[in-house]
This record gives sequence, structure tokens and C-alpha cells, in this order.
Amino acid sequence: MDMNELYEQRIRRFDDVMNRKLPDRVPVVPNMNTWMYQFAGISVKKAFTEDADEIFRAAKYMTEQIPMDALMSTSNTVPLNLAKKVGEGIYTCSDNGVQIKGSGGHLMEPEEYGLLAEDPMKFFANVLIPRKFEIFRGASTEKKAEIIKQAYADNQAFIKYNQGPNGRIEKELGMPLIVRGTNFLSPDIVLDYLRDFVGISLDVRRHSQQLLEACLSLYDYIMEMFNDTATPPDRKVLFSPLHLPTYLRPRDFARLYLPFMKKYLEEMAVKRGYSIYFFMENNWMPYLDLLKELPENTKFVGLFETGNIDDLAEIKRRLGSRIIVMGGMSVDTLRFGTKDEVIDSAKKCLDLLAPDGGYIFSTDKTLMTMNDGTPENVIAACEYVTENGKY
Amino acid sequence: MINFEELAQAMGDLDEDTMLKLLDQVTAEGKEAADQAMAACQKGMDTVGELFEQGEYFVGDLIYAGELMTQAAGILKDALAAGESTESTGTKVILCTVKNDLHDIGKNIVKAMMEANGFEVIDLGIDTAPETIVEAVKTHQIKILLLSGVLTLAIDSMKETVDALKAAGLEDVKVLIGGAPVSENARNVTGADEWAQSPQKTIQVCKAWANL
Repeated sequence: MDMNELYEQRIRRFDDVMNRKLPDRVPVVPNMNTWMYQFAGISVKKAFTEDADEIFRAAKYMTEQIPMDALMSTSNTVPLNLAKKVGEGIYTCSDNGVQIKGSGGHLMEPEEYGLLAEDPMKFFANVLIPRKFEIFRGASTEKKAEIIKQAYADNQAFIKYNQGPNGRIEKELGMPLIVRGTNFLSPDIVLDYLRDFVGISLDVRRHSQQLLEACLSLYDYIMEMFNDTATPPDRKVLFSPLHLPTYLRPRDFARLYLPFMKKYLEEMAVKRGYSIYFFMENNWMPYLDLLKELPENTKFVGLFETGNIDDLAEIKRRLGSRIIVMGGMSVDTLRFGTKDEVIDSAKKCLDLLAPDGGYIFSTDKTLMTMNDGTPENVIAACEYVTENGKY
Repeated sequence: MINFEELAQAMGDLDEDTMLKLLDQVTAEGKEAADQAMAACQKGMDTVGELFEQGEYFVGDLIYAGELMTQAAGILKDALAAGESTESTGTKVILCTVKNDLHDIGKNIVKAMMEANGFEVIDLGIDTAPETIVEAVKTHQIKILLLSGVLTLAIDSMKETVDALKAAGLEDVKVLIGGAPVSENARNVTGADEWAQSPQKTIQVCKAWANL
């Protein structure tokens, strides 16, 4: 088949589900991360930092053997060279993948929430950046401008580095790359980069009002930055990993996090017509009733990090008009299960989750290393759904 | 007279203000009251663990509880040290995040809750190589080893660690693996004795192992 046609056929499946139409069959979009490189015997470090062709080679090797309808991305999402020059940051990259260092995200104290709320840009520029990156401390204005110029150039180079393989994956392999951009909801920025786990857990109890006000301010600042990029709404998605929610009690979630999900979906999905993809990390079962506050019939897909297919069926039953459910295949089964067990599980996904559409087959966790699924099992799961998921 | 029941309750409810007020009174009363206060806090911490098991509390609450325990120990430190030392009789365990994994939140929660339950926890940190662990097990004559990890890569390192223990003739050391990727399957593959995804189960298993 012509690659353009193949691309169109694949992205249409995704498109149809997002637009709440019935596709020809259940789309197969494994939650693929750096597993792809290991499967192809390619060093992640080399592919991400030295030779962009390796990205294409990994995608080609994998998609020729495993039937799927889209890749979320090639997983090269952190400009490591930029980070290295200004001072590493919290990411480390090896042949196996990219990791965030635990407890590396503590940058400010709760007493500073007021300053963050007052003027996020000023606080980031004048306080947080010099605190995080030593290179700015005591530097002259000219020197700082030079560092920023260089960082900007490095970021552009990073974008260009990825454009090559990304374009080829879509054109030469007919494989859609679905994620157009990544936005973080503001409480997750506070968690990941400013206060870390321990800090924010204490703030939820001790400084919840200040935390909320800072997050509101930060939210507006993020939206302002997003508007500047003029990303068009198209057939792709804006991605957000939701980190904080399930560490909170439902009542704290309702007050400190849910408003941001709601605001973001109302603005981006309802008003502006973007497709939104949230990675719903961890166990969402205690929060389902609260999610009824989210708008209905939007292009919003949630990938739930659970291999419990019965739970997913309940999520679909209770929230199907609000959330397009993605997931179902447990990586524990993909790694340890027999082929028959994998197929049983894929069949259960189709039986319980596929009826009437609104479902995308995927894995419950990101496939980062070969430990997250044997090739035989990943192939068996994807083949089963492509063959049996027809409507 | 300090109401230790109320203190245990405050800890269980994660009611910081009441807890601090009561602890303040304790410091004025000396060593015996301090011992009782620590026991009350530990009792409260048990309640926290139970409420987490029951789905009433969430991970953020465990982190907060750990912080409150640390605070309590800090406040009572002088009073506890004032009298005759009643020498910790706690069973020693080693806890760490395994090689190639840099995550520490789960490990730190388990540490706080194990300590609250009277265990003496030797924390080897993150990204800990099997040989480092074996060395520490020998040095401290440890019989209980807790291995933590978030990535599925950690399962390989857990297996390497169990293998290294066996190779060093330390078969009698009990090993529990914990964290997001562990399961009965993972326990089987690694050769560990037990697995847990909650601190409460970890504590129960360790208590059984230590004959507490």
C-alpha cells in the first residue's frame, strides 16, 4: 500500500475515536517508549544525542514487526544537550533510557509561594533560574544574554534533530506520531520542578491556599506561553502526564487539582478544539465520581495506568461520555505471562472495552525497557487486536 | 497529666497542631513521659498505615505522616536522651533502592514507617550495587533486606542482588522487594522471599520475620 494511504488509514482510526465515531477497528497504540530502541538493539543515548537516523531505524525495525496504528512519540523529548550546557538538571540519559532523578525537583520553599503567585515570569527569571543553574549566578547581563541565546539555539537544534526522523517515520513508514506538544498542569510543575514529592505533600496540608494561588498564577503563565507558539489544532494531541492527583486524598484533589483539569479541558478541548491526551497515572478508582465535573463529548483521551480491565470497564461505564479510554494490556502480563495469557487479556480488553467505540488499545504502563514486555508477547497482543478488533 | 491517647489520636488523624501542643507539654515532664509519647506517636503511625491500607489515606498522607514523626522525634530528642538510655532493641534491617534506579520516595516512606514500628533501618540510598548491599549485610549482620524500585529495570537488579547474597553464602537473609513494578511474578523471578506494594504489608512481613 502507498505510504500516504497507510498513514491516512491509521490516523483515521485514531481520529474517528477522538471524534466519537466508530472506526473500522479498535486502534492499536501501545504506550511505546524506549522499549523500541532496545528491541532494535539501538543505544538510546546514541539515538537521542548523536545520530538521529538511529531513531528512524528503531521505529522502522519495530513497526515492520509489530502491527500498530500510531506511535505517541519517539520519546526523545528532553533537550539533553541544552540541559548539559546550562547544568544537567534532573534528567540522566544512558544506553537504556532517560530517567528523572528522585528528589531532584526541590527548588523553592513554601514561604516563596507568594512571589510565584505574584509574577511567575519574574520569579522564574530572577530567583529560580539562577538558583537552579549556577552558570547564571554572578554573571553579567551580557553573559546571561549569551547563555540564553545559546540555550535557545540548542533548543532549536534539538527540534531540528527530531524533525528529520519524525518526518521520515510518518512519510516512509506511514506511521503517525500522535503527540504534537506537551503541556504540564501547573500543580505538576510545582511537584516535578519546584517542591518535589515531600515538599508538595507537606504544602497540601500546611500551605494549601498559597499552593493553590501559585498554581492559578502559574496556569495563566503557561497558557500565555502556549498561545505564543500558535500550535494549530489538528489531528494530533496535546499531551499532559498527570503526576500529582492520585497521591492526594480525593477532597484535596477536588480542591487543588481537578479545577486545573477542568479549566484546561474547557479552554483547550471545548473552546479551541484541540485533542487532549492525559496520562492518568496510578489508580484513579477513588476519584471517578469527582471526574463527572469534566465536560462531556470532548476530544479527550485518558490513558489509565492500570492493568485491571474490570476497573477500566467501570471507568468507561461511568465516564465514557467524558473520557475516551485508552489502555488495558498489563505490562506485567506482557513480561511474565504466556502467549495464551496475553491473548486472553487482549480478548478481555476487546470484550469489555471496545463495544460502541470510545476505546484505544494500549499498554497500562510505558514500555521503557525489554523488562516491560517480551517481543513475542507484545507482538501477540497487537496482532490479536488488529485481527479481532474489527467493528 | 498528658493524655497519650489523645496524642496517638492526633498522630493518626495527622492533626499537626494538636500533636505539637501535646508534645510541648511532654518535654516539660522528662524522660518517662517522652518514652510514652514516642510510643503514642508510633501507635498513631500504625493507624496511619491501616488507614492507607483501607484507602482512606493516600501516598501524600504517608509522606506527611513521616514528616510529623521526624518532628516528634526531634522535639523529644533531649527528653529521651536525658534519662537512662533504654537502648533500642529494634531489629536491624537494610533498606535501599537497587542499582540503576534513582527513585527514593517509596523507600523513604517505608523507612519512616519501619522506624516508627521500632526497627532500626540502615538506609543505603539509591542506585545501590549488589556488592555494596552484600558488604553492608555482612558488616551489620543483617537478616532482613528490603529492596525498593520504581522501574521495571529494578527487577533485574533485585534478582542480581538476591543472586549475589546467595553467592556470598547469605541464604538465610530474608529479602522483601517493594515498589510499583513488583508482583508475585517478580518475586518468583528475583528469588526474593516476599513482595509488597504498601508499607503496611512490609511492616507485617518484617515483624513476622523478626518474631515480633
